[in-house]
Amino acid sequence: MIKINAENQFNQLTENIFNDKRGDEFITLSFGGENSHFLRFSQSKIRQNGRVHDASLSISLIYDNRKCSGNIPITGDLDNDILAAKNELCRLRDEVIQLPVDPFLVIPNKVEISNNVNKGSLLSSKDTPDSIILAMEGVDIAGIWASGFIFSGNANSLGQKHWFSTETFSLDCSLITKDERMVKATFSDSKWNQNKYEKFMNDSKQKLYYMEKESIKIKPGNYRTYIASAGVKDLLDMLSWNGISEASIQRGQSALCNMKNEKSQLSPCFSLAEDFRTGLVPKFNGLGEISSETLPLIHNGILKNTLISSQTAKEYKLNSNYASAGEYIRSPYMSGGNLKEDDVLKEIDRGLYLGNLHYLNWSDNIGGRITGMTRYACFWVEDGKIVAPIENMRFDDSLYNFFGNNLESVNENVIFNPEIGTYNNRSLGGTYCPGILLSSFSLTL
Amino acid sequence: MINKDITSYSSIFSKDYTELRVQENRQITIGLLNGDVIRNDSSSSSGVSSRTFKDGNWGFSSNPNISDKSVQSVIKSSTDNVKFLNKRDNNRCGILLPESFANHEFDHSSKKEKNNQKYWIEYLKSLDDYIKTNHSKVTSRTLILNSLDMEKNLLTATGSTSFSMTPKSHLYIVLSAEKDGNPIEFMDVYGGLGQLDDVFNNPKNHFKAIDKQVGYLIDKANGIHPDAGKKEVVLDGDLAGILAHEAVGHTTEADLVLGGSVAGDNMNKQVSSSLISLVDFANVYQGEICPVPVYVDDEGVKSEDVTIIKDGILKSFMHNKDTSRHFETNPTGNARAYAFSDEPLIRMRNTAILPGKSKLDDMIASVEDGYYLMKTGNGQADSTSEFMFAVTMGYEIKNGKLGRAIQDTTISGVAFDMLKTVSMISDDMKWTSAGMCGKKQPMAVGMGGPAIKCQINIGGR
Repeated sequence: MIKINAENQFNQLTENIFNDKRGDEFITLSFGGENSHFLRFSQSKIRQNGRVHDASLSISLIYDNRKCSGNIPITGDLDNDILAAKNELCRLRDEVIQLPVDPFLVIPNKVEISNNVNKGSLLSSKDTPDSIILAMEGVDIAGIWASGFIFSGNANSLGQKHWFSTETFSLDCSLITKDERMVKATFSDSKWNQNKYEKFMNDSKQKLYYMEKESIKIKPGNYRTYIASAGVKDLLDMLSWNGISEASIQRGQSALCNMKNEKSQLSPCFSLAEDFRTGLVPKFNGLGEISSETLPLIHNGILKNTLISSQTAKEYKLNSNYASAGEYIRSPYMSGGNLKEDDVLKEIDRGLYLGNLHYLNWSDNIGGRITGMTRYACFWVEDGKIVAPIENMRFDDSLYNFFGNNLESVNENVIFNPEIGTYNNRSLGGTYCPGILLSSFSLTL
Repeated sequence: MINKDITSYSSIFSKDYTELRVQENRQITIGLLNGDVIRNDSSSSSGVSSRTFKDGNWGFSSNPNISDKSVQSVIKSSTDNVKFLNKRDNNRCGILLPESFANHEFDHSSKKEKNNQKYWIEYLKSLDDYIKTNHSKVTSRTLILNSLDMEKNLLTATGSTSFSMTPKSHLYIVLSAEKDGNPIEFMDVYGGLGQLDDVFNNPKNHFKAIDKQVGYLIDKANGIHPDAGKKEVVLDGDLAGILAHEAVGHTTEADLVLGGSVAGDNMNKQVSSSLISLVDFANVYQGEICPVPVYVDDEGVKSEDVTIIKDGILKSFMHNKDTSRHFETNPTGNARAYAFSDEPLIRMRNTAILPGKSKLDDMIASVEDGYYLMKTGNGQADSTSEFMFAVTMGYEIKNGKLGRAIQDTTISGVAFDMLKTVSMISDDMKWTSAGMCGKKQPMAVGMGGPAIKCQINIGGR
């Protein structure tokens, strides 16, 4: 499948399937896929050159207040794909009548149409190696390049129809010193700019300079700490796992229960929103419902909204804000503050600069405690200057501390941290967030 | 069911080393929340991929279409992709992969008549009714039934062929109770290798295990927070298994060794107590089929057991063809891909600490002040072997006897340090295959272990 016919193929599939709809049936189709070019490289040399075409169609059938769904691969052979989709619909018809009534069934009643095509300016796969490798010279770099077309469509038998497609690239790599210390670097956009890339690579190489110094081991304890934007992204990601979800809160399994029920607050410096104005991900969810452009979640430390899917809304008799079924943040945006980038080291004075965090997990979900590792570019700072990299440490601290009482200031620069996951498909979007300066951060091991 | 005969495509391979894989993954998920159906999904994902090696580089291509034309196209594309790299960089010209040849067919499909979704929903409802009727202290019930069939057909240029249909089916039961208005949750998992019809026969077979699970839940609801710090503990088989996989296994995957994992500098050195032996089993353990059997890997290599640690000494890494060439050893059959569109990576199969000679009761009796840790929720480890796992069920041990249950906590440490403190290992073995391992791609894996007595950092509150 090539990009010019993906939307056309979706249109043909929807038309043919909905023509087959029987009287009382309600059908939703979700279509998604990618056409991606991958390069895997090590020691700054490309070692694998690959291309992945993939697409699938999910069919959801509601009949007589019962629901079932199935997912089939889409091959690009339209006649066969239509036949396969119709066969899947027949299978679902046989199945749905055997099922019990779903008390939390949601049937969208709005008919909305959207079309969001984000054209990029990507390197051709032929030009990619020369464009990216030259700037890597002189350093040992390992990583993955991914580039191409990603698409997603959603339609239902009421006439609702949404299409989203985007062209993006991402370079996810580690720069490695001779004694195998690393700087993690991620570069992503939808429009290739050679100068911007070369500046990014030069900046990343500069960070290696500090990693060449002998690392120091610091003791467990509480330290004045700056967490750079990439690390803050990892902390914010945790809010999508038993955090901002209304269902999790209702079941008493969320780190934000204290904010919702006990009216606990975070720092007035901390504001987080779901913000689709960035246009990086579809605004529609699996039911084809459109979220508002922006939804403040936590504003100046106060919980304003949780993410409420229509299923949760029905179960707990609330109003939906059209969150995804999993109630995770799809387009997070954390507001910047007034800490200038040039002042970061001076403001740390004596303490830690953590470039990245790694392998985060709840150590006490309800209490809001998160544990993980410091990793990659993490440094000890004295007198406002980087002294040396630190050996990896485990941290364990509560979001009520690092986004709360201990949050001293927030960087004015809000940086985009792309999702670079390749599980099932290339991930879309990413997190906009600044770095944060903490009066204290707890390292435990 | 995918087409089993792909051998004829060898005629269109180029003269370069090529792998062709046709694959279909099928999943069913059914969920019940307090008796109501909340999920009923089935999905399938299928396609073809080809990988070509020449002069130290790889070309890869995949497509969801499995027609003859598409197969020809992906073979040509993977060949063109590697040629493109070789034109740019011929520094590794002449590098050859180790040759391998294996033929095997493994089909673990159920021979029984397949039950429909209605049957499985009724199956879950029977379990839910049982819990609701018999356990009034349970305030919330979530039951999830999940099955995954991985069907692969492989052909390589060296003549290896493999067909495998490897299914796994699991039942996840999450129960909650309340204590002082706060929910306390405990999940347990049942099932393993096989399709639903083979793994789950009768709802009544689960009742005893459910009673036990509810007992643990009630104990936990009345439990205490453990004291934080370094403690003497007995880790039950589930925890020993995840420790073997996450904290030790990953560090000995040869691609991660090349990436700088801690194991790289420790070959043939003492990395644990001499009581510890740790093996990644390919397909059979003591005559019994493992939870995730792999007979031929996705590079066409016959899968062999890998003894990673023998009597405390690090002995071997797990390899694919490329790393075995680098380390000048034999490939071990660990190259596995999750989906048709994924390239094979070095992945564990069934990683386990081998049983010792002690009895669990004696191990608990030998602890004066510590904890017996039984179940884990999730966890991860670093290439330094630093690990952190959630503990979802356990008891304190006082003067050699089990005391009060503990609430959710974590354990952490550096595996190669912690394993040096192991002083007793039980003579039994528990296998699990409920989770999926993540390494750019998900992957079904088996983990096994006996109970081990050791010292470990335990989180508190």
